[in-house]
Parts: sequence; C-alpha cells; structure tokens
Amino acid sequence: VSTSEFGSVDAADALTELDRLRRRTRRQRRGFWFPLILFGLLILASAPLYSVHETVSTTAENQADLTHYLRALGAMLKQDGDLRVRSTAPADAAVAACSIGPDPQVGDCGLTAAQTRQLRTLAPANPVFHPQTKQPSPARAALFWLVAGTAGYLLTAAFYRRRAIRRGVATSVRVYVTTGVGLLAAVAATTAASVFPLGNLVIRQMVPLVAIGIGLVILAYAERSFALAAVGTAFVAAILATSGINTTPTPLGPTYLALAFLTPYRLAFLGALLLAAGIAFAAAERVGHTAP
Amino acid sequence: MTHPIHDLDDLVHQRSRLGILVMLSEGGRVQFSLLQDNLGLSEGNLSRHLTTLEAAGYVTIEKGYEGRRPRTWARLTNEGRQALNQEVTALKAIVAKAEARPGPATPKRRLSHGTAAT
Repeated sequence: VSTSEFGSVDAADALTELDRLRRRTRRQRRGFWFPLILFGLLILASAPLYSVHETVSTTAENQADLTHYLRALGAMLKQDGDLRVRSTAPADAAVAACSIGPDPQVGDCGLTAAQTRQLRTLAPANPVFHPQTKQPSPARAALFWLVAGTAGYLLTAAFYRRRAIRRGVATSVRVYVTTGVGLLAAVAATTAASVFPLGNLVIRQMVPLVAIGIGLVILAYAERSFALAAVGTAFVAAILATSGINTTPTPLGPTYLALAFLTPYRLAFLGALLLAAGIAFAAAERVGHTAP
Repeated sequence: MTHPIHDLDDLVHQRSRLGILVMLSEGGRVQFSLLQDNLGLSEGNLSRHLTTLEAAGYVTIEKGYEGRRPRTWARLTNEGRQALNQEVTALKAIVAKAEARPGPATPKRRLSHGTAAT
C-alpha cells in the first residue's frame, strides 16, 4: 500500500472515519450509569447515619438567652435537622426535642414550663454559649462506608467485567485496581485515625463521599467522558457546598460547624444527584443502543 | 521542509489496520468478534491484519476461554500506540497544510481499502 499522493481530502475523510470508530467503541465500552445509580442508592441509604439529632448541653440562664442560642445554632444548621437541648441543671434529666429554624422559640422546643423554669435557675455565672456537645459517633457511618463502599466498588468491577465479556471491549484493569485500592486506603486511614488531620469527626464522615466523587472523576478519565467528569466534579462541589465548610469563627465554636457539615437532607440531595445522573446516562445509552 | 505525507507509515496506513489500532486504543483489550463487527471484516481478513500488526509489535493477541467459549482478544502495545499517534498526527498535518495553502487541494488518492495484508 503506497502513501504517495495521498490527498488532504482523504486525510480528512480518514480522520472523520477514525473519530466515528473511536466514538462507537467508547459507546460500546462505557457503562457508568451503573456505578452512578449504585452509589446514589448507597448514599441515600447512608443518609440516616448522618443524623444531627444531637444532645447539646446548654447553660443558658433564661428563656431569652436560650432563644438567642437556638437562633444562632439554627442559622448555622441552616434549618435542616433537629436538635435536642438539655439543661445542665443537675437534677434535670429532661431532654426536649427542638426544631431549629430561622426564628426558633423555646416553645418550639417542646419545653415544659417546669423545664423552662429549670433552665432559668441555672447558675448565672455560666456563659450562655458554653455548649458541650456529645458528638455523634462517626463509627456507624464510617463502618457503613467501609463495607458498602467496598462492596459497591467490587460490584461495579464485576459489572464492568461482565459487560466487557458481553460487549467484547474492556478498559484497563490496572486503573480500576489502583483507584480502588487507593480510595479504600484513604477512607480506611481517615476512619482509623483518631484525629483526622484536617479537623474533626464529621469531616471523616465526609471523606467516603469525596472518595466517591474522586472515583467518578478517575472513571471519567478512564472512560474519556467529559459528561461523567462534569458529574463527578459537580458532585464533589455539591459535597463541599452543602457541607457548609468555612473557617468563620463563631461563638458556638467549631464543633457546631462540624454538626452543620452533613445532614440527612443534604445526603439525600447528594444521593439523588448521582441517581438522576445515572438514570439519565442509562436512558441515553438505551437510546444510543437502539438508534440505527 | 518535508511534506507530512512522508510521515505516514505504510504498515499502519491502511484503512482496516488503522481502524484496528483506533479500536484497541479505546479499550484495554478488544475481542476479535467486536473488531470484526465494527470494521466489517471477514474472519480471514481480520486474522491477516492482526498477524501483520502483531509481527510489527503493534498488538498482542491473547487466546483463552470465557466459560466454554473460546475467545481471542487483541491488545495495543506501546509501540502500536506510538505508531497510531504518529499516523493521526501526520493525517492532521496533511489537512492543516492543505487548509493553509490557497488553491485546489492536493491530488488525491483514496486511503487504501485493500483487504490483503501486506
């Protein structure tokens, strides 16, 4: 076969044909709707584990202080989630469920007249903002992600393997193994560490979610998909945006910022985001598959 | 300055073989039957092209079983990837050179559709 006198039109035709073939092979190889739907569902399932139903001890000395305290807390929690408030009076074991909103009232917290009275009798010397939170144990969420995250990853690998056999085209196994081991190690290390270098327990609960986002971006690279890269990036951005991370000092201290990081509602939003993207990709694949 | 047409590799510059390399570049490994379907080649033709590419060190062939079914997979080597990249670069350069030059396009000869492996 000679290449002499090969024309520019032929070169352009050849490039177009190669591009068409490249796209077709990519379409046949891709299947990222599966991990998107799977991890979307896992995130939804994990949402209850991120509950911010917390018990907070406050030394608010009167109703006005407590209202003020709750308002500040509510503003930080951005309205989603409930809080349990307990007075620190020694004899007071009462715990009142309290809805947190932009304008919380003590009455909204379901405090009885006796409980309110007890709050009012607290030592006036104590500062109003002296919360002693009992942080939620991250163990449940951490354990969930170690098990479910690993299982999800293995299921995805099995899905891709099966698909590769059926379709006849497989991506590099090395990328999957390296990514899986790397992400699992990162999640396990941050979970095992008693103090995560960047901060607190709640951040550790966020790490598995960020790991999912990074995994999606790496998958997008392996699959050469801008659309998936956009979804992965948007997902990570959504985690950071909804987690409300900021360094603004507050009178309530950093532990309350931590409480505000991730709540079930936000987890539900993040899960729905991946789920919707997965369904959209699955539908697009179906249309592409049936198209002539 | 030489014309980019001289950068075309006769071994790679063949429609079917170029197609094989492009498909392999998109997958870690690709099954024989998929190559056949996507490229519209007969079993014999595809085998000959793969043998040629394997002899040049551009692809590796793996034979095995998936369950009880015998399968043949092809995989691109680093040399194959390099050859493909060089070919695509040369093709783009030819197009770019023609676009930069006013007047009629260069005399054309179709990209070989030959089925015999050379």
